[in-house]
Amino acid sequence: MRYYISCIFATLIFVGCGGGSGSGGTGSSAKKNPPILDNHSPVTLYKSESITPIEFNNHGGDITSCRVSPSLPSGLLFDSGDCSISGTPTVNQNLKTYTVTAKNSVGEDSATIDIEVITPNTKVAKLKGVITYDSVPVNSDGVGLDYAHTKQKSVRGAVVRIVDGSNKELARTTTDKNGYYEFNVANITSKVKVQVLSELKSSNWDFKVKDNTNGNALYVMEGSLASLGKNSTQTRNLHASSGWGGSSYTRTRTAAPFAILDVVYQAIQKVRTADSSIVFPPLDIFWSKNNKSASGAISNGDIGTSYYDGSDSLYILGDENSDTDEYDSGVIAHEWGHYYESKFSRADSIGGGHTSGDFLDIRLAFGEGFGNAVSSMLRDNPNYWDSSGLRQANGWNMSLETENSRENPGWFSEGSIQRILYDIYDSHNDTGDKLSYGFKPIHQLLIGKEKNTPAFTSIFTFIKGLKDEHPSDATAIDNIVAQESIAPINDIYGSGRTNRRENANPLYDELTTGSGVTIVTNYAVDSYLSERGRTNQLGAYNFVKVIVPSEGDYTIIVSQVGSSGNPDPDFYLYRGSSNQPIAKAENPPALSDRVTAHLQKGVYRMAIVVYNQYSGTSYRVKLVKN
Amino acid sequence: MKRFNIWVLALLVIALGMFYFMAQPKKVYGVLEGDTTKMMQKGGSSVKVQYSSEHVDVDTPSRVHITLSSPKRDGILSVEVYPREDSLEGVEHKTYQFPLTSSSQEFTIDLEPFSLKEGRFYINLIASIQNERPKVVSIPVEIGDISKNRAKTSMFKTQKGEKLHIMKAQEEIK
Repeated sequence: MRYYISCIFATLIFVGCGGGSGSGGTGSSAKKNPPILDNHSPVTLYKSESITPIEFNNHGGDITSCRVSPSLPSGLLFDSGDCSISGTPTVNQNLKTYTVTAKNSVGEDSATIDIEVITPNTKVAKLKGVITYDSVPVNSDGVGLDYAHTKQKSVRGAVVRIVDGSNKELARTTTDKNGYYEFNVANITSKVKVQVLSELKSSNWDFKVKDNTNGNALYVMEGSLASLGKNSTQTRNLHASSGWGGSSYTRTRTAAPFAILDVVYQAIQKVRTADSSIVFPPLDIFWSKNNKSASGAISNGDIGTSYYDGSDSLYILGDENSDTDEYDSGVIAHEWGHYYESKFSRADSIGGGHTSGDFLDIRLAFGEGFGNAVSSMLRDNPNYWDSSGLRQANGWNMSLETENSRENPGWFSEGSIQRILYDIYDSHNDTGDKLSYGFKPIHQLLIGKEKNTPAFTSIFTFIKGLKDEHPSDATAIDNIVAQESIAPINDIYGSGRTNRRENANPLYDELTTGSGVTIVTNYAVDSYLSERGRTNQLGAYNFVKVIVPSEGDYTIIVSQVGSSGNPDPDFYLYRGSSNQPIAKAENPPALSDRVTAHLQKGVYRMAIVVYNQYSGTSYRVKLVKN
Repeated sequence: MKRFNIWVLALLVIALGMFYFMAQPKKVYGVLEGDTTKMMQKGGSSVKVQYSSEHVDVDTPSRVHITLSSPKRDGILSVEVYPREDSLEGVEHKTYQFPLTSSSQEFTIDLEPFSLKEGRFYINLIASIQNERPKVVSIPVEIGDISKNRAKTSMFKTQKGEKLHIMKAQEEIK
C-alpha cells in the first residue's frame, strides 16, 4: 500500500513540476529555446495614476534577464527579471516606441510597445485633414494653360503646423503622399489655426518657396482660428486656389507656391530611387506674381527669366499676361536639374543664349541638353511646355521623343543630347534605342565619373563614362548616339569626330613642357568674334589637355604666331571636380597673354578664347617650368 | 490809344511766355538700356532684343527705342507689344510682322508712352519666329518718382522672427 501511495505521490510531484503557465514553456524542451516575445499593443497611461502591470507574452524559453530602451517615462519601473512594466507615471509624454529585449542562455528576442502619458479626464483631441491645391494643366496641343480643366492635387510632403491666436506654434508635422496630416493634441483649450508652409522639410532636405518681392518671406497658407470642438476628432481640409477668375487672376494666387513645391517633391522622390539616403543641400525657390522678364532689381521682381543662380536659389517667373512658370513643370524641373547637377555632379556649362539648331560649345550643349533631359526624367514626362502671353494662352512646347525634330544634329547640339540622354533613361524604345536604364545608373555616373572627369563635361565624358560602367551595352549606346549623327564615342576628348570635323580636328590639343603646341582659332561662323557677341558657339573656345609632368611653378603663355590686328587672347585652366578655374589670364588686348601658377603633377584642362580676331589665326601655347 | 497799347503789351508778354515755356526741352532724368544677350534668358529663341527708354516726368512722352534682330534668313518675326499697366498710355496693343531675309535681319520699333501717374511701368514684348520659343521681355518705363507705384509688402513677422507671406486657404471644418 505504501508503495502505491509513493508512486502516486511521485507522479503528482512530476506533473506539478512539468505544468504551470507563464514564462517557462512545458517540459524540458523549453529550456533549450530562446524567449519569443509578442509585441504589445499601444497603451495610454494617465499621469499620477498607478498602472496595471504591463506584461509581455512569451511563448519561447525561460527568461533570465531583460532590458528596455530607451528609458521608460519618469515614474515607471521596469522588471529586469520578467520584462514587466509597473509604477506611476509622473509626466505627460507623446506617443513613443520602446523596445524590450528578453534573454536566456540560448538567445534573445525583442518586442515593442508604444506608450503615451496624458493628463486624465482630458479628451484627446485629434485634428486631421487633407491639404490640396489647384493644378492648372497645359492645353492638349501643348500651348497655353487650360484653366477649364484645373484639377485638385494633394500637397505632398509639406510642413503643416497648428498655431494659437498669437501665432505660437503648438505642433507640427508633414503631409503624406496623399496630402493627409494628423495631430494628436492634448491640453489644448484655446482656438487654433492650421498653417501649411510652402516648405518640404526632413532630416535630408529643406526646400522653401519664398517671395523675393516681399522681404523673402515664406509663403504660408492658413485656415481660420477656431476651437477644436467637443468631439474627439476634428477634420480641417485646406485648399489653395489658383485665384483664376475666368479671364484673369482676380484673387490671391495661393496655389502657385504649392504647384512649384510639388514639382520639387517629385524630383526628390526620383533622385531617392537612386539613393534613398541622399542629403540635399538647402534651396530657396523665389516666386512672385511680380517676377517678370525685365532687367533690374530682384526685390522688384525684375529677374529676367526663370533660372538657377548657381548657388542656393531658384527664381521663377510669375508675371500674368506675360510669362508665368508656376504651372510649367518642365521649366521648374529644368532649373532644379541645374541645382542637382551643381550640387552632386559637375557642370562646366558657360551659359548664354542658345536655340535649337545652334552649333554650341560642347559644355553648353551638354549643360542645356542635360537640363531638358533631366527635367523629363524627374517628371517621367518627355513633354516640356512653357506658357506665356495674354491670359497665359500661348507659349511653346517640345517633346524629347519626337524623332522628326532634329535640326543640325550632333555632339554640339543640345537637342541631340537631350534626346540621347532621355532615350537611355526611358522605357519607351524607339528607332535605334534599346536601352531603358532608369535613373539610378545615370545618377551614379553623374556623381562619380562625370563629376571627376579630367576633360570638360560634354556628351563625350558622359557617354564614355556610361560605356565604361556598362561595357556590355557599348553597341546599344553607340546606336543611340548614331541616331544623332554622332560617331562612336570612345574617349572623353571627342577623338574621331566625323560630323563638323572642322571644329574637332582635334577637339583638344595636348600640351606639356617643351616646344608647345599650335592652335588655330576656329569658329563655327567665320566672323569677328566680338561682333558676333556669342562666345558660347562651337569653335569659339579652343580646348587643350595639359599634362603637368611634376609639381612646381609654371608659366602658361598663349601668343599669336605673327603679329596682326589687336587680338585679346584669354584662357582658363581647370583641374579635377571643380568648375572654377585655378588660374586664368584675362589681361587687356595684346598679341599674347600669360599666367604663372603653382601646379601639381597631373592632367589639367584649358579653354582658350581669342577676341577681336578672325578665324584661321594661329597661336602658340607653351607650358614653361619656372 | 494808351489802353490799346497796354493790351497789346500784355498779349505780347503772354505770347512770349508761352513761347518760352513750349520751347523748353522735356526733362529726361536718365535713359534705361537693356540687351537680352546680357540678361538671364530662356534658351530656344534666336531673337535678340535691345532697348532704351527715357525716364521722364508725368504726362511727358518717354522715347522708347527697340531693336530686334535674328540670324535667321527666312520666316516672319512676329512682335506683339502691349502695356503691362493700364496707367501706361500711348502704347496700343499691336502685333508687328517683319519678314526675315538675308538682307533684312534687324528691325526697330519706336514708342512714346506716357503716364499721368508716377512710378515704374513696363511694356510687354513677345517676339516669336515659327518653331522657336517666344522671346518675352518686359521693357521698363520710368515716370517721375519711381517709388510711387512700388507694391507694398504684406509680410508678417512672428515672435520667433519668421517672415511669412500669409495667404488665406479655402477651408472646410467638420
